[in-house]
Amino acid sequence: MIIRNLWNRRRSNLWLFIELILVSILTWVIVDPIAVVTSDLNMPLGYDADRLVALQLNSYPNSSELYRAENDSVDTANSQLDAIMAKLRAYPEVKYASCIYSMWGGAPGMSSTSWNYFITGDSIIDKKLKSVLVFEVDAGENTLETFGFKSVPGSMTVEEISSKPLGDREIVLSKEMAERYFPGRNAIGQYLISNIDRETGDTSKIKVVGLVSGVKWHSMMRSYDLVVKSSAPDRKRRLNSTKIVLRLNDNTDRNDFIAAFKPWAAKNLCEGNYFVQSVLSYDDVIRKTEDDYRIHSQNTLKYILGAFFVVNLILGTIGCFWLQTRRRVEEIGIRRSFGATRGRIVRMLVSESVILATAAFIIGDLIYLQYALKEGLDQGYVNNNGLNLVDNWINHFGQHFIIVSAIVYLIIIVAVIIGTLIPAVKAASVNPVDALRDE
Amino acid sequence: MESNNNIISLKGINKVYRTKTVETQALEDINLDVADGEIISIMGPSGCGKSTLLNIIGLLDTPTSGTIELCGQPVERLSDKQLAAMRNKTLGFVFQSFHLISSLNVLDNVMLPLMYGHHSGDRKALAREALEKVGLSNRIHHMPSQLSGGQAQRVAIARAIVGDPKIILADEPCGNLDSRMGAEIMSLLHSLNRDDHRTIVMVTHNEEQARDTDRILHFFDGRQVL
Repeated sequence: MIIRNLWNRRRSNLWLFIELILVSILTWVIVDPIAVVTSDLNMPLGYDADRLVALQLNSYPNSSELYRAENDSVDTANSQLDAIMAKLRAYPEVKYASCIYSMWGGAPGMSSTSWNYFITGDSIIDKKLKSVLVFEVDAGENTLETFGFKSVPGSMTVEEISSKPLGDREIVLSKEMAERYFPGRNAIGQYLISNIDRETGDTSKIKVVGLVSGVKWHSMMRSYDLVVKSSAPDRKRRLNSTKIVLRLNDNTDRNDFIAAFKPWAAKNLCEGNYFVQSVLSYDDVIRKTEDDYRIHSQNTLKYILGAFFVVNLILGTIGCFWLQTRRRVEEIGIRRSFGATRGRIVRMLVSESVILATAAFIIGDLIYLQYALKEGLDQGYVNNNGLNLVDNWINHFGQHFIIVSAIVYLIIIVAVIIGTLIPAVKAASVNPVDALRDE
Repeated sequence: MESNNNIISLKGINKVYRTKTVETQALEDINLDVADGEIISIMGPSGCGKSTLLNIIGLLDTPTSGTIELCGQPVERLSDKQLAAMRNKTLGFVFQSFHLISSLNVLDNVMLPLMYGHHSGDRKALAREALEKVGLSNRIHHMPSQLSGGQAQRVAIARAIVGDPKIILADEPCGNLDSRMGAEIMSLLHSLNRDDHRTIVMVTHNEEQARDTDRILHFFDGRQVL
């Protein structure tokens, strides 16, 4: 009967139907980026930032009266930095301290280049070049522990990975990367082939010796494919702008620590030309980075604009269905005269609206799907830096499409039900005599 | 009329419409018994309460006070669902302005009461049968807008009888029709009364049509005067 009613009212329903298709597509366009941003924000960092403190070291410029030229050689600076690290590691509330020499994406601690890989297990399974994020560690620096990388069952522990130098043909992968590159298999003991030498084109087999948990460095990011490798032996420490990251003991209050540590650091960590420029909680570092990239203001703007458009779409949809239902008061009176109960009337009107909205949503969704396929969104995602993002629902085309479609459908159905239910209940409650008088 | 085969029985019916400032007595102490198989007319000037009475008998409206019995069943305490079931099974309505649903074709309009009751038999066949009875079996796929006034009223009568109700309530059934079509409709109503033994309560302004019924009730200012 409901389908019959819809068909009988096809002329008046056609406009509603077209409008609902457009609303479905527009809601997709609005909801999708909000879903992505929200998902990104809620993705866990993958490491424990709560008890991390970042120190910014700097060195006196030549013009400073505290500058000493004899301290400016690499060897002297290195030994002075070693002395600073030794003092920090001996500090009672410091569990680990690691010196960080490079930055990537505003993330201290992130060594920063991408590597291109041919991917293989026993045989080459994918010849595409893959970019990955590389995290370089030095044996004995405990950098993984400092950041709180988590061990993965079946692999060496983080402590074991840090305790001995990784060979130059050995790497540790993030768990998510290992699952993607070696699906259904234990990645440990497998090989990747890397085109390390771009000049000669020589490639080398690199053995996967361990796994660690995946990480993202701050809320604007997602987890990338991550490779942990030993730092190059000839890497030179940067003599200025060196960062040191501290992990505090489990029971240490970070704010109390920073309050007490700052004056101590100012007094005790001046070695040669080095001085401590700043001491910040790692959360502040993350926040500052996010502010530098204007992440929060951009996200807030996205949320406000999204909410504005979605609310308008919902109100528009509610209004249309409200009017459509109000126009049927006389019909409701007729139906009630011939035995329809209030509940039956309400159910009929709401069911008609839901079926109409569902059919329109399916068409709108398929139109958007065509657009997505045409734009190649099903071919996998890379971020602006060309790095492969770890496969979660946002990056998995099928899951992404289904989840956002479900959100869009929910929004439309709620709007349609509100737009129909309230006037339907009101109209069905009207005395049939009054309803019959409605023109 | 005192009879133990009364199909409609009204006792002390009052209907008062109240607004914040005005109170209007639409019906005052109406007592009425209609026997099974009777056809009666209600007459009176506009606003005298004829239609209000018909709506109260048809359970479309409720009286301010008084009791109603239809087919021997008191209706005061019936729930909305029970009232709807009684409207569906016992009553058939014919309105002055037809009140056909414009988006449904003739057959679907006639099938409407069958959608809401537990009617046995093929709905379409029953609807076709009712349309045949009113002489419109060749118009089943027409839309209401494609019908003349007389045809529309015959569709409305088919809809009123399709569920085989005992009582038909007709509110000025010929009010929007010319005299020839009006006569056709009256003839149809009389045949329903005579041949199918249906009780018919009709509101009319037309003395001639009223004279052909078993009884005429005259109303004035909400009271039965004759």
